[in-house]
Amino acid sequence: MKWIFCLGVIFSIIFGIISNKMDNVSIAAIGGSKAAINLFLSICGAICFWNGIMNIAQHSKITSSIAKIFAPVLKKLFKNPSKQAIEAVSMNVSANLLGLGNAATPLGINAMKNFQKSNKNNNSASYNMILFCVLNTSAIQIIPTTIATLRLEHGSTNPMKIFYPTLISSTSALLASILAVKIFSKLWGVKHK
Amino acid sequence: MTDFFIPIVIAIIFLAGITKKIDIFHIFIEGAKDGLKISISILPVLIGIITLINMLAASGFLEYMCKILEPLFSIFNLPQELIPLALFRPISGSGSLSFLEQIFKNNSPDSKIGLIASVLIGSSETTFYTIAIYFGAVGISKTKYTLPAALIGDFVGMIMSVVSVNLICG
Repeated sequence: MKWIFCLGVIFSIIFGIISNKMDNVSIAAIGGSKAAINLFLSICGAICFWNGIMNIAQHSKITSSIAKIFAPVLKKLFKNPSKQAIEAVSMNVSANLLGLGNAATPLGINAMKNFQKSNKNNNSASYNMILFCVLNTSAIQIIPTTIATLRLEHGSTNPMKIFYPTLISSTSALLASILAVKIFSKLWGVKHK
Repeated sequence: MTDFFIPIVIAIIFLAGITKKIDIFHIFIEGAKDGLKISISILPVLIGIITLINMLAASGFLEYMCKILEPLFSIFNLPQELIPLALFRPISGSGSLSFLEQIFKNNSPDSKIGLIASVLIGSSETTFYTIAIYFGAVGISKTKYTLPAALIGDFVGMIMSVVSVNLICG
């Protein structure tokens, strides 16, 4: 993370000089925090709301029944996940599948906190965390609602024509990143022994 | 159909809570309170990452990357108009959506370029943002191989969106 931050700043200065846009870069540096607060305000309410709703789901045992559906797959995918972690991951995956992005974020953070409990080094990402994060960077959703709506607004005659192609490409992206995590974790293990 | 979806999910959860005889209002408030804590915990990460992304976008970095990476993308038959979209996608959600709208305006959403763009956006996520939020929320700074693995996924998704549109939509 620190390298991303460092390289990001260096790149923006270098390219700002090359393209003579340093004025824009400094405006962005000053205004960035304001943009972040605006984004925060727009997602904060949704995170609170869905976390409240999901708390009800958890207390009424919906969560554990959904977790039972996903548990067999998740137990194979993750290394010794705790019961709470399986529940949190299942809820995050189902929220993602249903296209409820705002509900998926707090559930995902919840899952990360559960993985953190069994993490040996609290400053460094565990295999389970990396795998889970990668599940979320690939868009796992059944109906691409946002895009379909946008297509409709711009006069598409068949907004859902993208259904199967989207399914194919998101599934292959997901499989590719899972495979990459498996391979990288082996390489990383070898390098640090 | 999709209009019914969210209210029905909420209603099902409420009804399940009532049949299990739990105080759904109290439990909701408790959960929402935790949600506020979660939101606060990701705020510093947001400020850092959004400022950085805005600076990079303002510096013209992506325009140069488009030029540099053009030969690579053209190997995979990605139309030239879509290169900025593919590069922006993992970095900025709102940025790539405005690119998509631009593409819909210049070409119809049902044209091949419009279709590939839709699939590209629909099958990927704002990778940098997701990683920053998830690891930031638990205070982990060493993300090891998370980013490369995620970017490999994004790249495969990009190739496959071209392939699948050609295959299915002709």
